[in-house]
Amino acid sequence: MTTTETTVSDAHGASGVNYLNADYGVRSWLFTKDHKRIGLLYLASITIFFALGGLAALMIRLDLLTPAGDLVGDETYNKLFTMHGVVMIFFFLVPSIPAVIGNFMLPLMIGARDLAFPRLNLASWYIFNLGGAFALWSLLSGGVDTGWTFYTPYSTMSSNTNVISAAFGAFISGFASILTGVNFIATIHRMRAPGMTWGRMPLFVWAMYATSIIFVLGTPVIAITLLLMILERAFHIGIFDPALGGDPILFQHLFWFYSHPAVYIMILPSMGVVSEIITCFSRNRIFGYSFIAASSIAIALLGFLVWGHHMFVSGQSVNAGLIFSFLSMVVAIPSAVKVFNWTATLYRGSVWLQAPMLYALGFIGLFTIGGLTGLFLATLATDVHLHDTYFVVAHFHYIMVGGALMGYLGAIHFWWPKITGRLYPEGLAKIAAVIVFLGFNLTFFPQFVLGYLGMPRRYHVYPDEFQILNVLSTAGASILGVGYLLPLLYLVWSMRYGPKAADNHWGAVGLEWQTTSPPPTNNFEQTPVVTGEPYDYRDPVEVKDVA
Amino acid sequence: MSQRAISIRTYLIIFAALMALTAVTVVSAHVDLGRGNVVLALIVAFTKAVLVITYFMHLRYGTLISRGVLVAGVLAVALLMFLTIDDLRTRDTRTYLPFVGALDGVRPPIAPVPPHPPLE
Amino acid sequence: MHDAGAGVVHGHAHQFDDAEQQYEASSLGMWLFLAQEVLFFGAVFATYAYYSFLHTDAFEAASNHLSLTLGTINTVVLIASSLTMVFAVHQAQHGGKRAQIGWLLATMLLGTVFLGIKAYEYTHKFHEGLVPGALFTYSGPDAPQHQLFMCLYFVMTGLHALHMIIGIGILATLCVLAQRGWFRAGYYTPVEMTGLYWHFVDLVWIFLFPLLYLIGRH
Repeated sequence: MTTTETTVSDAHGASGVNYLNADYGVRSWLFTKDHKRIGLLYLASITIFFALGGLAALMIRLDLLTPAGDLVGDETYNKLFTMHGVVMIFFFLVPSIPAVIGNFMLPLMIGARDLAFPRLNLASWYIFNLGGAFALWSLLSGGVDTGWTFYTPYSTMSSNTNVISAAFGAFISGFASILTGVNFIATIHRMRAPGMTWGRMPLFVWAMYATSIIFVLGTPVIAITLLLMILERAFHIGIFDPALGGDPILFQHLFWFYSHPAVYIMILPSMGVVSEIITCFSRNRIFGYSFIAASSIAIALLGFLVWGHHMFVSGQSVNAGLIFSFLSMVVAIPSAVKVFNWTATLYRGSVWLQAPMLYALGFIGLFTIGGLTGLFLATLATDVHLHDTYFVVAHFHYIMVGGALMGYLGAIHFWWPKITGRLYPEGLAKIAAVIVFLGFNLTFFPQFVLGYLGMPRRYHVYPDEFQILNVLSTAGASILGVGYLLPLLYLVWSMRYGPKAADNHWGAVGLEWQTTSPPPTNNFEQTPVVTGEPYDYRDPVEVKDVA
Repeated sequence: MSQRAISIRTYLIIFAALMALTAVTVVSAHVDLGRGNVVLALIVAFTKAVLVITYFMHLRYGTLISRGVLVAGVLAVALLMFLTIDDLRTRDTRTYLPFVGALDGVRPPIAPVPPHPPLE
Repeated sequence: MHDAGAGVVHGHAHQFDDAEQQYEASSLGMWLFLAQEVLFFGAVFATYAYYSFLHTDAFEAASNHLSLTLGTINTVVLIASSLTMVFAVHQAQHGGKRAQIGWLLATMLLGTVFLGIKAYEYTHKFHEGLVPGALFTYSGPDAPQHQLFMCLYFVMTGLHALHMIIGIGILATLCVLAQRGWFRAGYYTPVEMTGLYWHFVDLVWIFLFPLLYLIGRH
């Protein structure tokens, strides 16, 4: 593990041609049908959106340094947290792992040459960016202040901001998700290599399948919801207008029917990534393969049954509240199953603390905290106290940032040698991972306390006694920002100056590691035939090229 | 492709059945069956849908997964409808309803809250 | 792969191993897309069901604003178009160019008739002051709920009509491809997939018609 020799594998394809150098020029990228290039196109897009959303977060945290709300005005503050939510959810988290890592790795992992519908794949990237353009237009022409949830009647009747363009942007981006989901499910069903039975598929593929179920069944509902809201605002037809006998709560039902499963869209892929990383970096078979696979599907399905837990205090009936509260407890079970199985995988493993593993271990801890705090919110009585406070903000940031985003960073690092054929600087990466972990906890743990003490969310004026916790949170956010900036810098640096990577830098098991780094355009010289079990780490695998 | 052909004759029979069912639903709409009207109309609509899906869309010879996909979609819509209407059905008229008089005739009004006892 | 000039050479797209796999994948892909459409229309149907539960009597009364005759004619027209579509798929697999184009055109024609009747209905509603929003002039009992009903009517039938317009466009493209001799027993996937889409649009109307047009006639 401490060797400093670097032996470069000579198996970069017979002629050294891979998907990156197979063709040059902007046109070869913008009109590509190669799933790997499309994955990288998505990487570029979502990185830009992440920067935008992050900028909004920076402004929010700066404003919250003082209790008087004196950095930005009230309306501007409303626009900042709205843009932060809209951009981070619709244009970063939802596509992140599926559209970047999923697009790139799914065909490789199942031994296919590409996805089932490559042109639909490219179309989805363009549709995504078209949606992003509308959201950007909304931002540049004054912003939107309804909150990312676009609740009526404020969004339809009272708000004077660019609601329609923002909602329309989210509406359009949904179609990109749907196409991705259709592509993934068809591919997984019909294009697995010979010998790759369902029970031999990598758990990341199971995670992509479960996520795609939600893409296909959930996204159309938000599409209609946003469309109805836009029509009501634009043409004053009152679908949700009480004066016509409409019901604003129906908007919330329709909105959350998608938006709750959407959070599983955002977490399931990360869970799949963690399964891949934990096995490789503990050199152990995954504990309970079928339970983890089944739990992914269970989360996808059960996730459709719990949306009303966002509406306990909205005016929804207590009866409905009871049903949704109970079901929300049930949906926690498959997530817990995963955490137990990952932990059991570590037991008696040979743990190797490289950067991807640091992110995966961080995920397990932080996701557990986030998930457990969700139970406070799922309980009707405590939710009355905690709803719309910073407790909720902390809860979902623990899952989305401490969970999903760390899973994403772990995935990027884990597969970086495969994607680029280069190694990132491991020492710096470890430092960055620790910075992210520390910065994250300093940012968001105080928010649990703030929320419990009663500080409402979406307010930038607060009582003086909350200032110390807010200052801690902002301090943490600045550290977190550094932690995110570092990978951006060294990953870009490594694309040109990083040492060349071997085909299987980590000594991992999986079809994607049986081909060159970077892979050729058609992925494999010959279609692989699968005979072994997944995660067959019984026999020690030689590792070359350890930095 | 691996696809059994459905004969022209079968298609015409299904078409005739669809026309007959359309006639049934239009005629029965004029007969007062109370709540039964909607139920009957939905039964007819579902029957027509099954015929179209099975024969015109060839799902009779379709794969298990194709059928599963369709069923999943239908179940998800049913779920959405059921839970949202169930919320509406069990709303407390004292705390929130979209407008005055909502749920009149759907469920009996809840007894008014007794006045709060005077504080000591 | 498709040599328009000298007749058609059919292989399969490079990511597939053979034509059979391509057909199976395309079929599953289309069913997944239709499942998504079920949810898309289903959400509006759920909205309609919710409000229908809340305003049962008013919605039944409002339904009488719609023309039963035109709705019934449209139902017959659309089901007939499904029949012609089924024949078009059959011909794509077994028949020649002329039969294929003939049945595709018949489907397009029936679809256009449907849209024409719809357009007539919409203009009629406009003249009757039943278009929701600023132009709504109905002032009978439960006028707000009638307006809500009309909102749902326009949204549901409007989305349906949009899907039909797209479908007719796709059918036109198929006519062009059929003219170039693309479809025969070994390859008729695009026609079959379009058929699935077209039948789905018919299915939506099969539910729209009783729920919008028939609930208040008794």
